Amino acid sequence: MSAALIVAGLVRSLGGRRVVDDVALEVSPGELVALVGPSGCGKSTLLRLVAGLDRPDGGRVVLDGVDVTDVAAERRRIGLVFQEHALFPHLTVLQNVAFGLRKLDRRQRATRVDELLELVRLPGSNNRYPHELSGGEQQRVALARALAPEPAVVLLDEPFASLDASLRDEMRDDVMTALRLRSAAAVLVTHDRDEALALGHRVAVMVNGRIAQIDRPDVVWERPVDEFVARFMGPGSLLEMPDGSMALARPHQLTIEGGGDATVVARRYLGAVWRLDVRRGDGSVVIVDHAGDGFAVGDACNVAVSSAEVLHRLAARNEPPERAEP
Amino acid sequence: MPAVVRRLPGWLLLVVVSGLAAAPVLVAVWSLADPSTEVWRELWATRLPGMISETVTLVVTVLAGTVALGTWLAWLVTARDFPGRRLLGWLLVTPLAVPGYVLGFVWLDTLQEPLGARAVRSIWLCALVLVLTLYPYVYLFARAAFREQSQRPVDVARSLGCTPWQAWWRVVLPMARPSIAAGAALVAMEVLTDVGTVRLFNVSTVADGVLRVWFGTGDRDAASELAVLLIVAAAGLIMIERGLRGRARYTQSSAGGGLARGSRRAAVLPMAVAGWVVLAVAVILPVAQLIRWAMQAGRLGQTATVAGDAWFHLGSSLKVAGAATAVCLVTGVLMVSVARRRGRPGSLLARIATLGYAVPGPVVAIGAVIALAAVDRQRWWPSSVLLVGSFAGLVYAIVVRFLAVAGNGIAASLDKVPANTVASARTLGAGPWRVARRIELPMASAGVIAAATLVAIDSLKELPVTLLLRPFGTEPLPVWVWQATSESLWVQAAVPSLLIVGVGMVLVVVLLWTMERGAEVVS
Repeated sequence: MSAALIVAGLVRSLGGRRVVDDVALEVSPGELVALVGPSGCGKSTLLRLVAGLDRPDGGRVVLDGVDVTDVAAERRRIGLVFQEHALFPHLTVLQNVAFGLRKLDRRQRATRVDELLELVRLPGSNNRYPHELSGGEQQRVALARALAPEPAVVLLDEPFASLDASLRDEMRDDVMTALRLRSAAAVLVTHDRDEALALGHRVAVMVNGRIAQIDRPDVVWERPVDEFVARFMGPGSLLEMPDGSMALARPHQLTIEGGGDATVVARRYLGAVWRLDVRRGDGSVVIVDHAGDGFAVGDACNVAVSSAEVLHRLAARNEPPERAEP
Repeated sequence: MPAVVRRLPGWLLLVVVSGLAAAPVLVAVWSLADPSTEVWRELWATRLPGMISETVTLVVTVLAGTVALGTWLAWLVTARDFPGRRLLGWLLVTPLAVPGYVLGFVWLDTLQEPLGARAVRSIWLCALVLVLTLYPYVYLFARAAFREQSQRPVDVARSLGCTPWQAWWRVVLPMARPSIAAGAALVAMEVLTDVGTVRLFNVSTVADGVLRVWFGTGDRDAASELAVLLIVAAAGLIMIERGLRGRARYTQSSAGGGLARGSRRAAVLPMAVAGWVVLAVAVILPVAQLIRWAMQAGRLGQTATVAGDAWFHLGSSLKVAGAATAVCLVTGVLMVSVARRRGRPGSLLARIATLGYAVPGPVVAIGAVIALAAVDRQRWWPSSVLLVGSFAGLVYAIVVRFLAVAGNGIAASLDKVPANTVASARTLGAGPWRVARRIELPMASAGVIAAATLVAIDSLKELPVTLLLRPFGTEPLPVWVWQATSESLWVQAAVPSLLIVGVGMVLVVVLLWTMERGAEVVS
């Protein structure tokens, strides 16, 4: 078996509710799967089950071909990186990173720590304490510490959520590089859909304890399985097609032109394009990206599907589980 | 009005308060300049080495006991789940209301039969009694530290190969170490200072020696020189505690959400029972015994002394504790509010004003007597008004001793008022005093009340200061207990003891209530 991590039929009930409901997941070595979903969807619980910090009520967890469902957390070889509270505040950087390296002697340990700090681009900070580091530096140390015992799988629970936007991009690149260099399998839990799309080799969308869709980021974004996933993964408009089915139009798939029975009701500049909210004649609002400053609020216009685009038809579904912010 | 003039009253207040508060301590230290008397030299040759070794033994034993017991109990109520966990968590604070010299004589009498009159008066039983009365300090600090922690470092440690036990030893406990050390420092200070409990068990510590020299030979210089030994020891303890903190900073940036609570019945229930046993031994059984004795005393008509009946003594105790608390509170609030706006010199003066708490009670008492007597002798002082032996003199000495408790608590809770909130008030046109009155004090009220309650509990129990400075014709409760127990009259001691414990319990309930509202008692 080649998968680094296999999760099969995993179930966990808390307070009579199935927080994790029959979840299956496979992660290959070197692959990063981004687990994304609204808060309370069960993604963090799933992570704890994989790490062995919580016991499943059913299902299996297999690491590197070994069934570890009944193995204690400390013997699973899993790396954990949390959003915060991650470092041991009473230990230096060196002691933090070396915490999981108890089988090595002193010198080997120091060498390994140096290597790892090099890997996360934080060399020479061995003797500093966590509170003397910036938020980004702390997160780098946490990553180095998780990678130190060469885990089969690294689990990252919202690792970038507490960082500044400017720092976040840099950290994302560095984390990806470090994971690639170690060819570690990774599961990244996030509630940030852009982060999931940008970092995941595959993206798993979790809703109400189940994985609603797992696929390449572009597929999840352009061809979501249902309206909920469509709305959760990003802005777009649901268009009723002539045959009565619903189609998803992401903002870039629509064009706008002057004159018509639609009106621009809001606009905001995204850097490369203007994003326009347009109220159509039938009262529905669609979202359109438009390069250039051609339309102002109140302008009359007409919206059409770009000629090159084939819109994704959503499978018929009566009720979405929850409404997400569009 | 120029800024200098406007700021003058604040400076004046700080200088006067710190001067008054530091005077007794400085007077005691000053006595060293006039070196050894005969008594002092004789002490060195005979009893002092023994006193020092007994003191060290007692401090070390009680420290080990309180740290182990307090930390374990804190872990039990924060990291384990069992029926009655919250109730036990509350009740375990109640030994704060039971002074060592009360718990001591109850157990002394109870164990006298099975152990024999000689064996019962041992340093180890004395240590046990002190552990049972002082562990709440460690317990409160450790519990706060455990509550602040998060499960995540434990989870990470598990993923890096630690069993739950190893994670506890390598992560949870070290992270709580500074808090536990702070609690332990308070315990050590209390043991150094204790005179009531050690006397019951015939343990001759340095603090006990100070009182014996004072009352026995009347040699004030020798007594105060001996007292300086205590100051040196206390200063050493404070330095050790600071040293333990080192460079590592343990507090976490945001609330941790607490540790996960294990609840495996087979493992947890025996421990929960053990927790209740501690409570029974430290509070429930002794109080039951006190009630029995007090009823007996009622039947025998021994509920009064020559000075007056029980209500009279309770009244004089409450008057002293109430006045001391009020003075501490007002002085503390003024001092802290002003010092916070006066930069480094301001906080230095505030530090000086709180010297008394770092200095053992007998030292404060002796320093205060010497200082007050010196004022009484001055020609400009009206000879009809004597400070030594006056109500004001006693309140003054108690305030000196416990001003730090009030000051630290008030400062800690004021520090928690967000700077941005204060800034908003200032931009809305509120001056410093309006900010203090409308924003800072209301937001810090739980902490301020908690600080006042601690001062009240401490003043009510305080023995050495009360013993040396009690006003003529009054006998505050601790003194009554002291006099009855020094003649082994347990039944007579029961009534005042029960009154101390009763009032103390009420205050502890107030304390717990403020803690529920977020006051940090232990900062």
